[in-house]
Amino acid sequence: MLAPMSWIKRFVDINVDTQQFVDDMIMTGSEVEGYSLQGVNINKVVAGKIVKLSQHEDADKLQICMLDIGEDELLQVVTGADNVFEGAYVPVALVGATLPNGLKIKKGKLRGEISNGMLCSGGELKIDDSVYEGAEYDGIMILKGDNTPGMGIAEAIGYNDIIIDFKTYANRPDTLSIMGLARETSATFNLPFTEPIYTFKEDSKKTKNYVNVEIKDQDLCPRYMGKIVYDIKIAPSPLWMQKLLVAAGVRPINNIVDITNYVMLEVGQPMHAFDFKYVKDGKIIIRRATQDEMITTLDGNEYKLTTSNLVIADPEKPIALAGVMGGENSCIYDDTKVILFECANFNNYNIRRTSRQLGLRTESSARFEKGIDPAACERALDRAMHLVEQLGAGKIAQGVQDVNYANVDERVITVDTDRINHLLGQKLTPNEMKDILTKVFVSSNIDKNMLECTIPTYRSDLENYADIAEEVMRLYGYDKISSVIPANQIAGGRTKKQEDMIVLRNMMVSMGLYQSITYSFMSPNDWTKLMLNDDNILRNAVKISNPMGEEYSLMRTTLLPSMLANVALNKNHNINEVKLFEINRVYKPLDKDANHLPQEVNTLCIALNSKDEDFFSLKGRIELLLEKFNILNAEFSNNEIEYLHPGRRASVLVDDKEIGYIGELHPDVADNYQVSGKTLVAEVNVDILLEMNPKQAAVKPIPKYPAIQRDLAVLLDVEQSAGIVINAIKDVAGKLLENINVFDVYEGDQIDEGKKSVAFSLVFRAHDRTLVDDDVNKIFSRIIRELEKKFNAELRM
Amino acid sequence: MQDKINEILKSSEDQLQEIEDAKQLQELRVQFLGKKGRFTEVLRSMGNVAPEERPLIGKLVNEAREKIQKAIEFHENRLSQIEKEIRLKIERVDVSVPGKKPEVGAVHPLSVTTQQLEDIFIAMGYSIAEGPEVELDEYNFELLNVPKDHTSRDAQDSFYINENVLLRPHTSPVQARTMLSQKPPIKIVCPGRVYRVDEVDATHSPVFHQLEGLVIDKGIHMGHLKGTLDEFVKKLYGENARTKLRPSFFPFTEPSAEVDVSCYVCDGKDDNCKVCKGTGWVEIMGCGMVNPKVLDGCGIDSTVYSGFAFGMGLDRITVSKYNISDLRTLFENDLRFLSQFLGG
Repeated sequence: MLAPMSWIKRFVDINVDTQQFVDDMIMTGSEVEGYSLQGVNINKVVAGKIVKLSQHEDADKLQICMLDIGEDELLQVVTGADNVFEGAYVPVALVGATLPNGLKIKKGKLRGEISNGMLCSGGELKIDDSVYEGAEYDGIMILKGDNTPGMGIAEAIGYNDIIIDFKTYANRPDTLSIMGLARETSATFNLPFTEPIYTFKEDSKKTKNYVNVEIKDQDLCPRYMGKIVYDIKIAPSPLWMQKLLVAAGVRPINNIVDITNYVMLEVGQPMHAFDFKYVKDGKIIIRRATQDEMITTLDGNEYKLTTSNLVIADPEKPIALAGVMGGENSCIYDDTKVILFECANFNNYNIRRTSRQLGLRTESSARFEKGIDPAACERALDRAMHLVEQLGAGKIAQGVQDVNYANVDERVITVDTDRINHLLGQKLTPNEMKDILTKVFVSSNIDKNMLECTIPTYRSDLENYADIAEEVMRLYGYDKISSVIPANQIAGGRTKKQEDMIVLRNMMVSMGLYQSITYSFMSPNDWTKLMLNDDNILRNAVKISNPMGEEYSLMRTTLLPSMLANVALNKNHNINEVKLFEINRVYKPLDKDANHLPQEVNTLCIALNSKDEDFFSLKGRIELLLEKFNILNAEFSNNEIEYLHPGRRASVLVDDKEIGYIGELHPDVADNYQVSGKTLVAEVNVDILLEMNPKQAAVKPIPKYPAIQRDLAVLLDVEQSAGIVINAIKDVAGKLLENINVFDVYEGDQIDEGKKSVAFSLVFRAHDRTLVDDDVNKIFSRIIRELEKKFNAELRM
Repeated sequence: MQDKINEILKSSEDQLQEIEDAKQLQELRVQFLGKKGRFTEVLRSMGNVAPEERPLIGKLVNEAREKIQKAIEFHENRLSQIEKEIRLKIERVDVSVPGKKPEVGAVHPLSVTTQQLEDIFIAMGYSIAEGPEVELDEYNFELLNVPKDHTSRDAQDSFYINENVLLRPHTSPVQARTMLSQKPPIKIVCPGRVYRVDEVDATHSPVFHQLEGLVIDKGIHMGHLKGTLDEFVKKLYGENARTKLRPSFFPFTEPSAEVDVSCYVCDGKDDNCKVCKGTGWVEIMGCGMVNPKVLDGCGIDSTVYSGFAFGMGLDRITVSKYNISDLRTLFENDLRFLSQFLGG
């Protein structure tokens, strides 16, 4: 909240430099967003007295002013205004001044007469009537009474308050008020806090003869105080009040409304004023709204309510949305004669829910939803009546309608000072603690090591020893907390899986890929862009009920859409080699049960978009990755994934379990994501991969005997999968075959249609002797026979 | 015959003196030692030699051949030495021409930061705890002393799936889950992804990352918290880094504090420092002693155990570490950005 320093000073006689004030307040637990000085943007504008006024000889509309600005010599300024007169005090912008509206003041000549500045209107200084009465007059602003020539104009008109912007912690609703902040000031600077006693005279009529209050829902409204003021004279409130309200960021309206706002800011207790003539039968009922009951609030908006909303009603209709905003049907007008002041306490949770449900937040709801001291009602009402009297706003009826179900007694809690010391790592005596607590108005009795603390009603946050410990420490000084390394010896570290996640990531990097990190959301639109079938499981996504737009409305079931967005972005920047990977979670709903959390699966996604990459360079990386985790039996088999090229897509299977896919992105999908060029993509379920966790085979000895390498090129049917052929070769070749690879696949010229040439490279080695050609020749002919028989293969020479 | 041999020998020696390159040397080798070489001629004419002299001549031929063979080897060495010297003289690279780099990728800077912080805490004996991002309200709020409809929920405007399930707005539910499943002593950090309703701009993101820590044991006090944080900032920002605790409020902890670290850019020496705005301090995290209500709620006896917790934003630490002006950069994955980091 915005707290004018002058308002705080009404309760504490504080006189320190503003920065010091802010720094010290922060160190005792206030949060300060910043501070500002009123009129700080009005520089080099001073109060000047017009000593002599004469007509400009060459211009009918200009006058020459000789001004006393507190210097030895008078200052000559030419003005075109006609409301100035000798003896008047006016704002004078000196040469070199820059006005709040941006105008720079220079030395000038007007029709031959020198002008060393400019007389200003309120508008030019951005000052209005709420800051200084008459400032909005169309002409030069005339200062009232006696002034000191040469004094800065902000100071001269009292527009020089310091405004501190405090943030309120959720546990300290009491500091959402000037008095609360003044109490904190008092505690911080060890200065007395003085709360004036507010008295007022009541007139002949009685409140109880006007109004009757009934609370139907005590849980939502523990207390309701109502008091009548009659013979109301609606008028603007006095300048001092308007100035404080404006400084605190509240717009002045009229004396009655301003009083309620003033009390709310000062005491922290929101109030409301009803025009009593609209309260049917003088009966106030605090009740839950009926389902679909309508109310129009005083900002003119209409709301449909539910039974969870609380209203203030008369026997016929709701007249206010409790704790949030008054109704349009009972608000104050210039002809208002009798007023019911409401000072009530509402359940904080309920107010918060209503305010959120209706999207209606007010200064009042902001206070109620944090929880307000029910004892504050009396204090606030007294303060308001005192102001009514002070402002002459009306006659105060006797008595008050106070329906109170709240406990307004001070609580007593007993805390163990040893325990507090243990928590804080301090050695404070009970007496030291008692003294510190006195500063925050917690009085206490010492019984050995125990403190019996009496808690002020407005400190609902103080419940146990930890709360008291914080009070003690923040006022004793957080800078006195010692620095000790905990002694406990626990072996920490990563789990095997956490280590493996890092290994996996680094493996990707070592293969030339850059790690990307993207949001966890996806859009239903992605289903279409990925051309998913209606029954594709990726469509089954966790849905966010309050998303930031459709684009971010689902928890992603695949990393691919955001990966493709990354590829598109980079391609758009004319980056030719895009090689990215991401390791993050996808979210798979398990069932419809509201409390059943989705499965979150760590997933690896790869995208390669570069001239030197193809299906096999992607596959090779996946194979290396699997080898790294000792998975040597992975198989790749064609699949039906909609967003991949039908001829270039495969599932990755380990022990018949699908752990991911690889393939070339379908050109239509590439278009949908505006990705140019061929893109190879893969996704792997990292959780399954890492859980397989086969043991690393023992290291093989380095071979002692040389190997023999042979190539073998055969013609096969185009459809024949090379993987099956390799397995057949391995079976025939036996142990002596150390390694087999495909180094060329060719279709086209010189190859019969329906055939392809596949070239294998084979390495043979024995571990106990040097192989001779004969050994290999024998195996080789067996292989050829087998391939001819099984695959109708034809040897190419 | 002997003369003939000597002559050949002499002739070879003369010619060898004039040899200038390997090719000539090879020709010479053929000329003298080849199948059709000059010794072959000599041996062919052995028929003319008396049988008793033949062994002697044979011996002489062989000795001569060996001699020439050695001489040739000598000159071979000489020539290759010369050749090497010439090569070393003429072979030159322009060392200023840029090198050829092998292809390596890079770990994302956010990952680098996360791992760095994890490692700092692991060195201090912490384990890494993880938990779901789509979380139950119970773990996320209620067990952490934030009841339904309480205004302290405002600080974390959350994405909801339904009334009971939401995207966690902080990693604190991992702490609740750990306390419920593990007996003290507990010493964990939980890094992870969190979500809050926040429009994307240079300093806000609906998805971001936190690292929280939790220590629970007998006799843990606020000095231990301060000591741990001091140690942490020294490892993160260097030996001169200091911390300052300011009172604050978090429902989960009591007492609570904000932690400022001495400015890691100017150390308070630059009034115009952009990072600390001339104050000399930068806010880096929130912390406090675990609220006894939270301990008891999670089944840990607060009369026996106490603990502390702290939490910080990984994205914020990352952008400040690398002087990245816009948070969005972290999630755009522009290779012109990512390629400025190298390797793992």
